[in-house]
Amino acid sequence: MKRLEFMASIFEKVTAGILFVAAVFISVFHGWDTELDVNILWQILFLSAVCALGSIVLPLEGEKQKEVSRIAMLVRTILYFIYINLVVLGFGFLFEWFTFDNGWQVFGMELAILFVFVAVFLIFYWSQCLEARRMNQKLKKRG
Amino acid sequence: MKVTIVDIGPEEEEEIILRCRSLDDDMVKIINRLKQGGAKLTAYKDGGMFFIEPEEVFYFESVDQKVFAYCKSEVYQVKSKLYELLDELPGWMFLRISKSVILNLNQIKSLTPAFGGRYEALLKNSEKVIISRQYVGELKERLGV
Repeated sequence: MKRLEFMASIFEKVTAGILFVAAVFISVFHGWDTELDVNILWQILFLSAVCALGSIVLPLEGEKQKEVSRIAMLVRTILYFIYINLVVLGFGFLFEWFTFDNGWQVFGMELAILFVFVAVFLIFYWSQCLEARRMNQKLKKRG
Repeated sequence: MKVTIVDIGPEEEEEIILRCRSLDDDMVKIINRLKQGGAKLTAYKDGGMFFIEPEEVFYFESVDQKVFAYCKSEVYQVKSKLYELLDELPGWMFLRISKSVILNLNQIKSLTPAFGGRYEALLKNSEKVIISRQYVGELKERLGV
């Protein structure tokens, strides 16, 4: 259940991120007047879901499994980033969002992936900071 | 709080009854103190044996099959295993925070996020210990967050 909640949380953040970068990407590479098929909305939702599925490599809070060291966590995060790259570039190409012939478009896709990945990471870090603040307040009360 | 002491006959068993509206933190502390019987920990250092109060210990760490108790500035060895200490120590005060560390929650000065969903605890003696992601849920529960 916790795993599903975590995936749903990743899904909503990634969807928002992809929607934002897609708007920027389409505006930059295809112009403001571009008319889009409704399919792109389903493609974005599908891509976000596949990205969220990959978060299975990340350990969950409170999950009583083998303890994950700092290095192991770093390795898992890198693996997840590679997975996201493969998924987004793969499906992006299949959905004809870009072509590998256009170097600038590939660079734009990479930039978009990096932006969403870092943004989602920072949102999780920010929520952790808020939790730390709440716990510190409780600790102060404890004396 | 009203304290009532009742004289009983020599044949009767001694008993403590706590009458309370709810089992709040203070009540739990009293119960733990009674259960613990004010017991001190037996610790060893430089060939000598010492008795230390559990609240003096900042954290316990298991290193190479040995368990050490880290106090404000001294480090003692204790003979108990970490899992045995968890049973012996007052539960409201101590919490396992990683595979090898039990932390005294009363000695935490502040918590800050660390990479990968972990937290770094700054202790009152300025030492820092890492709380594993796996134990963060329990910490939050214990602190009522």
